[in-house]
Parts: sequence; structure tokens; C-alpha cells
Amino acid sequence: MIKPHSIVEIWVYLSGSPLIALFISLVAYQIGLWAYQKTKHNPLVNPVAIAVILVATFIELIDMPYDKYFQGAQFIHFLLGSATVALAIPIYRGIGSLKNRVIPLMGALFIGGAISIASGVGISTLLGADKSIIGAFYSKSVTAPIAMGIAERMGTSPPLTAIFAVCTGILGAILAPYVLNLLRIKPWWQRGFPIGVASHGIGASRAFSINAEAGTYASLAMGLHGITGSIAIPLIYKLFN
Amino acid sequence: MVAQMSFEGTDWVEWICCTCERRIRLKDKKERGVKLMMLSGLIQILFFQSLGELISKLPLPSLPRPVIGLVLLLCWLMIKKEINPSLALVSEALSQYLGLLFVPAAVGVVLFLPQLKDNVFPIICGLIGSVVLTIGGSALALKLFNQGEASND
Repeated sequence: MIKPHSIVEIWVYLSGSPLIALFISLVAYQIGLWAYQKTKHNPLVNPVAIAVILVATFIELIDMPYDKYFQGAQFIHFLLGSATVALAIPIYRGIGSLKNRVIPLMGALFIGGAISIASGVGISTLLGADKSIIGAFYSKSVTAPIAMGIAERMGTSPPLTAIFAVCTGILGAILAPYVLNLLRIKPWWQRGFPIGVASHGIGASRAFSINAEAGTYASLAMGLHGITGSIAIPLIYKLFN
Repeated sequence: MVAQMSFEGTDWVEWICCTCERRIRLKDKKERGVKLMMLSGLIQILFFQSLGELISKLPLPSLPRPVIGLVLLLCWLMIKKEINPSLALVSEALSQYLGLLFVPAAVGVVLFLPQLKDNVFPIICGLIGSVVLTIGGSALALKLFNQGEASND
């Protein structure tokens, strides 16, 4: 027979070790992935968004402070740096597609990046958002791992930035076909690249599911935006703050 | 005749056994090879990541540290003009679960819930407006620049 207080002891032990944080993170992401596959890769059913909602709800329910959760989950978080470095491989592969289109692609990247910051920061400022919220708008069109690094360097909030980046990715993946049809953009590479500029990896995976050429250009845009953004965005932020 | 056949028979059996064994050995070697490859790919990535950390200590532009590693690795790949299979393997494994890796940090949003609630309207408008304008703007820019390029030729 297990006495009730021994369960409490086990619980105290478990919640003190990193195990529970690791476990719930992995389970939540697995559920997210499963739902994403079940819905045939619908961008609305984003595995990261689902995982974040599940973990956040769970730690609220068991009254675990975020710091404590992060202490355990930092083992996952640590790999984020390595995964960011590893993004060099897909970027290198994509560079071949730059070919003789360097000027239009880089031009579109810079204009797109500028519009992304100007419109995001502009609209939220006009509508009277808090300063920390506006700060998270700066790097939201950059792929989330790099966006968080940029936010850390600028002193804005990395979690808010990550959430905004994921939301931007989801919105871009959903809205892009409508916008591009409205503007009558036909060639696949011209359709893919803007999706990558605006909505990074989530947009790129949506582009891949429609057309391989569009996907290649979208992930090229994501990589280039990641590198140029991490140079330019802190400078622009300094200029306005 | 019979002797020859039986001889041939054993020969066959032996041959089959030999190939099977060789196949098993090959498979073993391959699996071991993949494991070794994982390790060497991880070492390469950690090497460039550490290099990035080191360089970020210098008073250079304030790039995020992993991005410095990324740029260094990218330069290295461009010089070598090839991706070794071990690096490709590890990069694939890491990027497959990239989403999982930023869950812990993103859960930090629980600390901002009241603020998010107070700013729901500007946030939604900002996100939707910005994404539509960014896609539209960069698509038009791409079209214009491309036409400019084409007419130059």
C-alpha cells in the first residue's frame, strides 16, 4: 500500500528534478506534431503553438513557476544554439538558387525586411501598444531561433518575440496565397521568396507543400533574412530607441 | 556426377552463407558508420558554435552568438564547396526538431499574459497588417527588380 504522503514525496522529488520539465516539453511537442500530421499539415495547427499552449497550461495547473520549468527545460533550450548554427547547411544549399537573380532577390529581401519592421512597429505604436510589445515586433519576421537571439542582444523580450514570430509564420502561411493571387504574381520562385521573407520557416514549409521551387526560394529567403536581419535589426532598433 | 552436384550444392550453401555474413558485416559497418558520422557532425557544429561564442567576446557588431557560428560555418562550406555527409546528417536531425527547441523559451510568454491581454487589439492588427504588407511589398519589389534586370539584358 502506498501511503498518501509518499505520493507527495515522489511529487516533490519529481518537480525538483529536470525530468518533469523535459518530459512535458517532449510530450507536448509530440502531441503538437501528431495533430499537425493528422490535419495534413494545416498551418493553423502549428506544433510549436500547440506545445507552448499545452506546457503553459500544465505549469499553470500544477503551480510551477516558469523559472523552475526553464531550469529543467534548459537542456532542450541549449541545443537551440547548435540548431541555429546548423541552419548554415540549408542556407548553403539554397545559395545555388541565387544564381543570376542576386539583385532582384536581395532587393526584395531588403525592402521586405524594412516593410516588416516599419509596418509591425508602426501599426502597434499607432494603436498604442506597450513598449515591450512594440519591441517584440522588430524581429518577428526572422526565423524564431535567430529572432530570439536578436531580441536578447537588443534587450527586448525573447519569449514575446518567439511568440510573435510563430504567429507571423502561421498568418503568413495562411494569407500568402491570397495576397500573391491579388497581385497576380505567377512564377513559383517569385511566389516563394516573399513568403520566406515575411513568414520564415513556417511559411517555407507551407510553400514546399505547394511547390518545390517555391519552397526552395522561401527557405533561401528565410536564411538570408536571418543573417541580414541579425546585422540590421539591432542597428535599426538603436536608431529609434 | 552426384559427387559433383553435391560439391556444387555445398558450394552454393557456402556462397550464400558467405554473402549473408558479408551483408551482415556490411550492415554493421554502415550502422557503426552512421553513429560515428553523427558524432563527427556534432563535433563540427559545436566547433563552429564555440568559435562564434569566442568571436562574440570581441567588440564586433552585436550579432547573436549562434548567428556568428552560422556565418562562419557558411563561409567554411563555401570555401570547401561541399557538405560532408556527417554534417548533413546532424543538421537534418537538428532542423527536424527545430520547433521543439524553442518551446522552453517560448513558454516564457506566460510571464507576459496580462500584458498580451491588455494589448490584444494592437498586436492582432500589427501582426496581420505587417505580414500582408511584407508579403505584398517584397513580391512587388521582386517583380519590379526582375523586370528591370530583364530589360537591361
